[in-house]
Amino acid sequence: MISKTTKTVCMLLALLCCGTTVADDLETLEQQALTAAVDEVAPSVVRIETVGGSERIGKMVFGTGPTTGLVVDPEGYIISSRFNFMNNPASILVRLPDGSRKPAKLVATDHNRMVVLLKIDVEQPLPVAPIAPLGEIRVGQWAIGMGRTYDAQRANMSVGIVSATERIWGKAIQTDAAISPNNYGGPLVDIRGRVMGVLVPLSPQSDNALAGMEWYDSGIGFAVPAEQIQAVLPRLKKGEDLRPGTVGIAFTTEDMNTGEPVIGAVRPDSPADKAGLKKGDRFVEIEGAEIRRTADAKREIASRYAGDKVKIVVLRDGKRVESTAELSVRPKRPARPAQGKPMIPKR
Amino acid sequence: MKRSRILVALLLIAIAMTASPSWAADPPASVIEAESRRIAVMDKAEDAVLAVFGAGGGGGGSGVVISPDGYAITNFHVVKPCGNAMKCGMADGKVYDAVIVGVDPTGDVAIIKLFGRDDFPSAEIADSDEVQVGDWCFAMGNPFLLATDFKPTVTYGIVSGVHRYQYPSGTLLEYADCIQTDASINPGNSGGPLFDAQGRLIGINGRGSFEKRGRVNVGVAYAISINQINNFMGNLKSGRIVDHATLGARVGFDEEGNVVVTEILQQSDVYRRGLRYDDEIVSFAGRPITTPNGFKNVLGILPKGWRVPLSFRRDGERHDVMVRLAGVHRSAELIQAVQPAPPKMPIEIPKPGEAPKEDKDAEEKQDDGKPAEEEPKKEEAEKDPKKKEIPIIPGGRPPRVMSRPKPPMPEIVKKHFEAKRGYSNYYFNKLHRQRVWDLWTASGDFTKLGGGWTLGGRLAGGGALELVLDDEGVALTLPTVQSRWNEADGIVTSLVPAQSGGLLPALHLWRRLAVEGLGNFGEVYYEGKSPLAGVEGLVDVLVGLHGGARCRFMFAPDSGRLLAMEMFPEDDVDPCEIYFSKYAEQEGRFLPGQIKAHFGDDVFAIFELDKFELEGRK
Amino acid sequence: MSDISVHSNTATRRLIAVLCCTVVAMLLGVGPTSADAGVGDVIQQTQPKIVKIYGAGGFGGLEAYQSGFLISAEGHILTSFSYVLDTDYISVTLDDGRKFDAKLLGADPRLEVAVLKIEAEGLPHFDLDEAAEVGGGTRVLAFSNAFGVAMGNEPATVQHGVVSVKADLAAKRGVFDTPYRGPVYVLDAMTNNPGATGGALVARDGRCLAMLGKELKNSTNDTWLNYAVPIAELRGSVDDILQGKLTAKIEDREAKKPARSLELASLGIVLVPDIVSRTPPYVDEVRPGSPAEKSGIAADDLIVLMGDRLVQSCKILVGELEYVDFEDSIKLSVLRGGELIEFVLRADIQDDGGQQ
Repeated sequence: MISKTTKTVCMLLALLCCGTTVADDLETLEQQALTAAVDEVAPSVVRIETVGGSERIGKMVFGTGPTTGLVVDPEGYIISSRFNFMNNPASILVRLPDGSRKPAKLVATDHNRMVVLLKIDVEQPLPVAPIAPLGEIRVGQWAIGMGRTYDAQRANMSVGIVSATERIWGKAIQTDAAISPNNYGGPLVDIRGRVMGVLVPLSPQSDNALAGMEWYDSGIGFAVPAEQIQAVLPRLKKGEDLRPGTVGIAFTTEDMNTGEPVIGAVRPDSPADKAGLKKGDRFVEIEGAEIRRTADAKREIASRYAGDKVKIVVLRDGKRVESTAELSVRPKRPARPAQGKPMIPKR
Repeated sequence: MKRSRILVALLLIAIAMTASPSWAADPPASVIEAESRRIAVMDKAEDAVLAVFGAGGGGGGSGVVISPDGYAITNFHVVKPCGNAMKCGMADGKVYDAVIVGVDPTGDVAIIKLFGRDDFPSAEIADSDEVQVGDWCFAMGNPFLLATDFKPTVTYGIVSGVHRYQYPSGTLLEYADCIQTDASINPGNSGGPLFDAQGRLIGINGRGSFEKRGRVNVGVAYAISINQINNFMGNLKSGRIVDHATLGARVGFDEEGNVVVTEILQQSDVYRRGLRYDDEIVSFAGRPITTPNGFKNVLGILPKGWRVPLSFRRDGERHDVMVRLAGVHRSAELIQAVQPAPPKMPIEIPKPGEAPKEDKDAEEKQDDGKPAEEEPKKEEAEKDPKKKEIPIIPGGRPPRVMSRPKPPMPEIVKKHFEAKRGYSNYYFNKLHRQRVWDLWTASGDFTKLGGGWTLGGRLAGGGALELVLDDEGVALTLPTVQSRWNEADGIVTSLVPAQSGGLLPALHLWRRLAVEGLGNFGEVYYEGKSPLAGVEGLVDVLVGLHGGARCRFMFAPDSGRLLAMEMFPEDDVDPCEIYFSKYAEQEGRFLPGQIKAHFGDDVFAIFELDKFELEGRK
Repeated sequence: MSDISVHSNTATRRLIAVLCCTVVAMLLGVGPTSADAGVGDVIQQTQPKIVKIYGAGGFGGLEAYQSGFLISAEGHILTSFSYVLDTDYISVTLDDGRKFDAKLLGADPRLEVAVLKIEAEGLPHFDLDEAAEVGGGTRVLAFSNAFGVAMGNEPATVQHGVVSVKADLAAKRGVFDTPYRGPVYVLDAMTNNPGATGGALVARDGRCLAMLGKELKNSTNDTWLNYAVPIAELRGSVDDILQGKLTAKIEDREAKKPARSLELASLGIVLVPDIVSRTPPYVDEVRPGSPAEKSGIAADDLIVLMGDRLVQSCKILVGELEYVDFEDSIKLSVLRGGELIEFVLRADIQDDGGQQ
């Protein structure tokens, strides 16, 4: 005889199994996975409120609403988008997911990748979400942008795919998820709940911190890879502002798309000059990466910082010449045109 | 009991799983699989995608390779500022030279050819009529010139609408029968591919709806359907500047909601076929017509010169006819359309922090809901500020690039380019003209047979016939009548026999092409590919001009046989149509055992031929 | 053991084996997962419920269009209460191309929702009772006639996306130019295009979720907002409208006019000159010391509701007042700077002798 218990349990199990397997089509499973990924990372996504600061930057009216940040270190270090702080707020408050508000200090700014590091004091270690290895990221995979601007308790999410890797001269992962001031400073997350990068507005044509914002919600959005942020985190923690590195040369062509990577001019006293590079040299390798076009050279330099040392190989009169250059900050343009040879410095 | 315990345990597990369908950091295998499949599809598709630049690296749009020998599709407005030579970057990081082949300024399509490989990765082409709203799709291209490494930007979305009609917005450009998508399409995506979920080409991206935010995507964009481009493919590969079709009639809704003729040109082919004002259009080119936009969608994807079926109804009676489509533009207009414009910045990449230039008209709340019966005429460029579909013109380089002298045309491009008025690249026209000729003459070379031709046989209705053709004229002998045409009488002025539309001069021209060849017939050019009633697929068409007449010679693309010819003694009249069939071999040459002559809606005569005596010149 | 029980034991064992396998399959996430086949069907079933709305001619030659969806078989249509409806000639085109004249049955300016009515029957429609409430991350489809692309029997535009978050529209005043501050579904799809307002937000199984909102800009960060108002928030107003409240009809009133009715002059309100047939009831002047001034009504306020009646024009407002006894108090709702403000006031009866 089958016991009544056994029978009942069997029936319930059967019903349960039928119910669930029939209901979970791919679209629903994907939806569940996407929200699960967001839930994984949400405890590390913080809401930032600022007080004071200028209302206008150039023609742009600056927002006053909350913005987003990402916890990157349990001791209270938070990364956010430089865009969110362009108006130099008087005070910064970070609201943790548990509801508590902490005043934050702006520790350092990365002017190349357009992120800032904030520090708050914490009693308990903060949760840090896992990072997706940059080498594993593929075009076509799910990408979820997260922010905390509408509702302090519920993160807002927007879903898209990875549109390209290595954009903006190697500094960004590109996504077609809706990216805007509503999630700048928040993470770009994969389907497994790992952080691929931090969302920031960027543009290939300009290093201005506001550049790229005009593309908000257009299906063109960028995230600075978490791995790259990790790499500079120690320097940022020390309070070191990072600036884009330049080498001080101009190419013979202005064609940054298909042009030949041949040096047309070297700025005197520039890193290139000190490294012994000359007009007519043709780039062959930078830090081991093959250089076929002007764009390749620009990528290798623009993704690095002032102070970085790079190994350069050029072709001069048919021979390979190796040298090392220490990148420097781009010199400010003089108020009056310089006497003598005017040189428009380029990377 | 042990069994119960196992069962209870299973039950608890099952409940636990149902209660928390979220899998923490471990998505279900099916989700990961689907993602991996998509990654793989996109990885393969990107190989055929092009970043298209002008010869000096300026301009900037997208394209897609469609055959391993390097033919590629892009938008006309992408190549126009480039001139005749372009540079194309592919996902492998290499740059290839390319030359312009043919352009369609109205449909905004161009065909180019890349050099450097004979095994270019190419896109698989799908049937865009199978695409349905809700299907996933993805676009690849170079919006905002972000692909500095030539790896295209990929954007993913769904098909939001099909068979969308877009009015011309002040330019020639008319987008008919488009695929609408919410995949993000931005300036720079133009000319690039729209793929279906399997990675097959369904459209070419070109246009978006923009309004209050200037030229950034707002979720509404349109792609030219690949079926439309396929219709034009033969014509585009001919190196010509191709034109779209017009019917010679306009349609609109009547009070009952039927699509009826609202205007008709008396000199149009469709008038001669019997269509009149107020007739109800039932179907056109095989597609049922229920709205004026639907009609425009069909017309918009057909090339000038095609002959397609049309069904209409009058007083309850249905009429089925074949109509010849005329061109929309005068040739001077088309030539003007492809002149290189003075260099300017068609799209401004906004300065940092600056919003893109917003439409001034967006301030005035001009709305344009058009109740269905007020369909704007196709040719009139409506100024609809709110409904602004703007071709996505690629980002340009700063003006200083434009002021530099244009770099010289690369050698490989020079070899494949020849300028000639009316053509985008005459080299390719000569190429195909020769191809068709070679294929035809492979089944019979008549160039040494410039003497008299005597063809004998029977009329289909009964009675012997004899046809004698030579350089001076053509003589037709039938049981009850004799007909003679002399070359001195002129081709277009002596259309004998009566009711035939000029059968004898037409046959004269047939012999002339075979005997005189491409060099001596007169002007002969390759028109492209066209449908022919009764034949599967499209046929190659050579156009020959002589004596004031225009002849279209139609050849089977595989065997090269001359299937038919049409002789137009002038524009706006029915041609004399001749159909050649029942080819049989004689002395190493294939000759037609049957010649059918049509004129207007009637069959003039059917000749069954069994005797051929062809002599060389003395 | 009897034969029966032996048989039962094997059967039970088999049953257990099957159930174990199914549970393991569930654990691995393997099992029947249909591909995207369902969405095409849902789209086909939803399109017939979507309508294209056109405001005809009107004054100023303005042509306008927006979207809406059917909520009853007899032709009730839910849409956005916008300037497009501010005309006597509203035209609706169904998905199959049929055109109808539509009446504005009623509207709630607080939620910016309106119900239209066309004369028809047997129409496919959404059953608002089946409307679902969802949370962030839900995959959705938006149906609308953005940019007026679809004409006649051409189907509406379909866009995909997810609910970005369900949140209150704004805690602060003045962030968005709308009186509605309740919960909305913020979307990651671009739905704030011209003509899309009033469209339907639908779950991937076809259930109606919300109505697409208007073109609103978030003034705290200068970005355009994509949002939809959940059906649950609209439901009350829709029911009110269907029951005859929030309507502008005054012809079929059962109530009798009082012997002496309330007049605007007694309240101290002077409206703008009623020049055209539908002059909106803007307050031109507020008489100093009047009940209106004391309650806080100001010049340039636009009166939108009187009690639960929609007042779209001066004529309608004056007509409504004819049914109010001169001693009764009334509630007026006005729109001022994008905010909806309510006032309760009554005429100053002692002062009555001096009134004109």
